[in-house]
Amino acid sequence: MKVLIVDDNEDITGLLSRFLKAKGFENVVSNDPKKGLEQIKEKKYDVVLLDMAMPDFSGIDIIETLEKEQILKDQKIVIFSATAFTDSQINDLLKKDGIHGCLKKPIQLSELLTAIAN
Amino acid sequence: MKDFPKNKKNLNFSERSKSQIDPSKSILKKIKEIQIVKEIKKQQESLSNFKEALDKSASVIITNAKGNIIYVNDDFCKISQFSKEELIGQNSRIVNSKFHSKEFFKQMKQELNQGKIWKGDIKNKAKDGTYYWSKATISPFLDEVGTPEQFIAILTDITNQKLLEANLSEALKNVRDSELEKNEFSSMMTHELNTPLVPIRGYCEMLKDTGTFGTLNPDQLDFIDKIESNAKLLERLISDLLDVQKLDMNKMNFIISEFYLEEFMDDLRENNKHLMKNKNIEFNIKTPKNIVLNSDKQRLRQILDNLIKNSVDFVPAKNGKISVEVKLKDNNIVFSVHDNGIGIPKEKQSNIFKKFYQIDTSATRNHGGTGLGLVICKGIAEGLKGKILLESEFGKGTSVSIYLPAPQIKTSFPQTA
Repeated sequence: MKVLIVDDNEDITGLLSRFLKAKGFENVVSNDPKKGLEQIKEKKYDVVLLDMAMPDFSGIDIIETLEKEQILKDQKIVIFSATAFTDSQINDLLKKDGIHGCLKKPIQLSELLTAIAN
Repeated sequence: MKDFPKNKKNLNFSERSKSQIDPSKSILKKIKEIQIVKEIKKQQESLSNFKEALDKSASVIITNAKGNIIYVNDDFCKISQFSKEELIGQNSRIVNSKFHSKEFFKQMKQELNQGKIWKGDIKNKAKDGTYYWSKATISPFLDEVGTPEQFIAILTDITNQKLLEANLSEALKNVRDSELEKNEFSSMMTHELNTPLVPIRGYCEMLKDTGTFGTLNPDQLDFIDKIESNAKLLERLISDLLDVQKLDMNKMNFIISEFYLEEFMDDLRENNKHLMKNKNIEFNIKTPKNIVLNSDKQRLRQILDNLIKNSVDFVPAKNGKISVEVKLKDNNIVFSVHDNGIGIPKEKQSNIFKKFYQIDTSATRNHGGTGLGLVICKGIAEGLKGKILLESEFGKGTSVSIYLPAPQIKTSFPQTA
């Protein structure tokens, strides 16, 4: 299984990458959301872990772009939400085809494994 | 009034009376005449007094039907900075500030032409180009057929008042802007504060995952536990602070839906089962059947979680008891969390709902609360149109009750999502 991690914070991607590697998941990190979008479009990944709150180009922007290009439904995305998001905003995101789960920050690694497995 | 016209009719009458009426009657007539003249003088005097009072308190301007100025008083000259000579004969538009719309004057004219009195605030322009505000009352003088011949406007200066109003609305706008900024700031801060917690908590979790990442000695494991529990406290503090701010600013959104009470309480029991067993606490839940609540399920749960956590931290290590009891009382549903903890001394009970207040006892040190839990409980209870009550006896235990209004009693259950 191959995982793509898109988050601007290197400490967070470092943590997730090392954790997933130790648990036997091949993974690629993208700290630049625009590059991340290109990588998502390559469709080489089984799961995409996508941070919502990134400056300049947020996770929401990425999701909207994929939706516009009608390729969101082909994705398996798990989003990381920040506290600033309301429950109804998260529910709206989860209703979209292609978004399979949501982890609230601070993420628990055990929950991350369950989300990937699902 | 200096230029008050003399009553010619009266004089003619007195001349005629001399020649035609006999002398004895003529004396009586004369006396009457003198009385009339006196009366007129008296009226003139009183009119003159009125005029003086008006001149002292307000600006007066009289125009003809076309709006050309035929009279202004000194006060009007003073405020408009024009002399009487400059004003008389000019159209009243000379002081137009162009602040008001055409529609504004159209409506004013319409009312005056109907013979009505117009009242309103007008911004005018003085000779030197500065603006001033007047509160105006304009009355039309009508001719025999009811069309206005003249208009008299009485104006009082309200420039300072308008200035104050403008300053006040500016200040209000600033307050609103800063509230908005505060709101944005707090949501940004929450995100920024939470982000470093991800790697802190994540690496703690990895270090404790000895199966994957290798073993630690008991001391090292203990250190990691300490780091982790403090990171969790920080996380709670951040989310509590955000809740308190939302409540303070009246920005907390409540999502009201119907739910089945028994199911809600079963969930509460299940979620606390392990914790109570580990801590050796006797935990009981008593709830009536067939009740459907119309409330915010998540927020109500937040209150109960908070109250239960408080109780868990303050019950004795041996024979600790906590019970949650739900009762119908009058038109309310009451959730009470009882414990046999250390209790709260009477003199400290009034402080318990204050921000960051924590009772200083040795038990508190193990509590690790944020000092905001009960403040949030009270805020949420009130937000749900209910109230919170505390009963406690030092050394015996504490009961906290949440009163929520009007539950529905149903025999059929709502569809649960």
